[in-house]
Amino acid sequence: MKQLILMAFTCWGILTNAQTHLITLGKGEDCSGFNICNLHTHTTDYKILPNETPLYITTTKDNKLQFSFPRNKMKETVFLKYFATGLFVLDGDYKLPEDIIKQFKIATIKTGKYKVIATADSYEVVF
Amino acid sequence: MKWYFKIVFTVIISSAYHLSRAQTSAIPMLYEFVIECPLRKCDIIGNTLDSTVYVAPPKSKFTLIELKQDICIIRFTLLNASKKINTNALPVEDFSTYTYFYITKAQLDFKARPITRSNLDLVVGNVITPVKLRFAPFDFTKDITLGSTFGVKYSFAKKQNAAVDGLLGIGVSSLTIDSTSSQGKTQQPVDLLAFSTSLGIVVEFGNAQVGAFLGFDFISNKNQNEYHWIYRNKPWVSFGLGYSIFSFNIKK
Repeated sequence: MKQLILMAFTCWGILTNAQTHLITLGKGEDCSGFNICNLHTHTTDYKILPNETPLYITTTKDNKLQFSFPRNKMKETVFLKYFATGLFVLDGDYKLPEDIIKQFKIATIKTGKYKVIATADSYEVVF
Repeated sequence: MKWYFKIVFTVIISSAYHLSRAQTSAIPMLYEFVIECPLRKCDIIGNTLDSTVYVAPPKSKFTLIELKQDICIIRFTLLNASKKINTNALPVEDFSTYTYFYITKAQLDFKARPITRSNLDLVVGNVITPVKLRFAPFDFTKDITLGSTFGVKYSFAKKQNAAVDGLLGIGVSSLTIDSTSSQGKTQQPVDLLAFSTSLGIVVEFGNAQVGAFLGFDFISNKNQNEYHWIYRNKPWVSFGLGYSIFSFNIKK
């Protein structure tokens, strides 16, 4: 079943032109707060670090940035800290990396609390 | 001054209201942590999967899967921001991807609260009003009313422990009619039964509660003709003030 979900995600990614990224949630040098410590593209030869979570970045119909986190790739500690309340908290503006700005024409994610939407196989946040 | 003591006495004595209630419409398996809570990962039957202690943040919502003696098996559930739970709108989920945790029964009781369907609850139960204030002429009596009440409880969204109950009650009262209240028709106090109706409001804040009831006592035509009771068709008022006076024996 997990393989099916992964396959569905891969197909969905190809169809929607979404690229896998890796995110480290947190803030500052120790990534302890509520922000984004690091966000970069996942390349095939890159080994995912323990604190990194895969996600797909797309835009909605009204051109808002959307992060989709596959459920089965998310660690319990990450879910409990950042998603369990149903609100994804960003305690400061986050300037997106150049490749994402270039791809989606969106430069920053504003400070705020964003609703986490649970779908069958992912948690989605629209900024 | 005499009036003042009468009122204080009435308020103190009438604090003995006893309202037991059964509340409905809480969804028993959906809860929310009110404070951070340690938990451990387990399988669906409660076997511990690893020794890591996880911490659930306040306001995280979960579904109670099973209660096994002292442990509660739970899984986290994301709901819409709205308090209203539309079960049809919840996504169809792949249960094989669920992650289960367990907490203790004490943690469920003291660190979590049930999520209700809406701010409104039905309240049914019974009320005893031991003392009544009557007017024109003013008097206070120990005419005890025993009866049932039903109504609606409104819980304030931002203050879950604050609520207002609107209650409608019916019951039977024991009245004592003396020469004053019978225009001299009887010299000896006479005990009679009366049918009582009342409207009440109870304001709750945590365990502190204030209640007021307004009602009427109706005696039979035969007794009215015999005793000419002066408070016929006149309202009585009763108050209550105290700590958990209305929350005895709450069933959820």
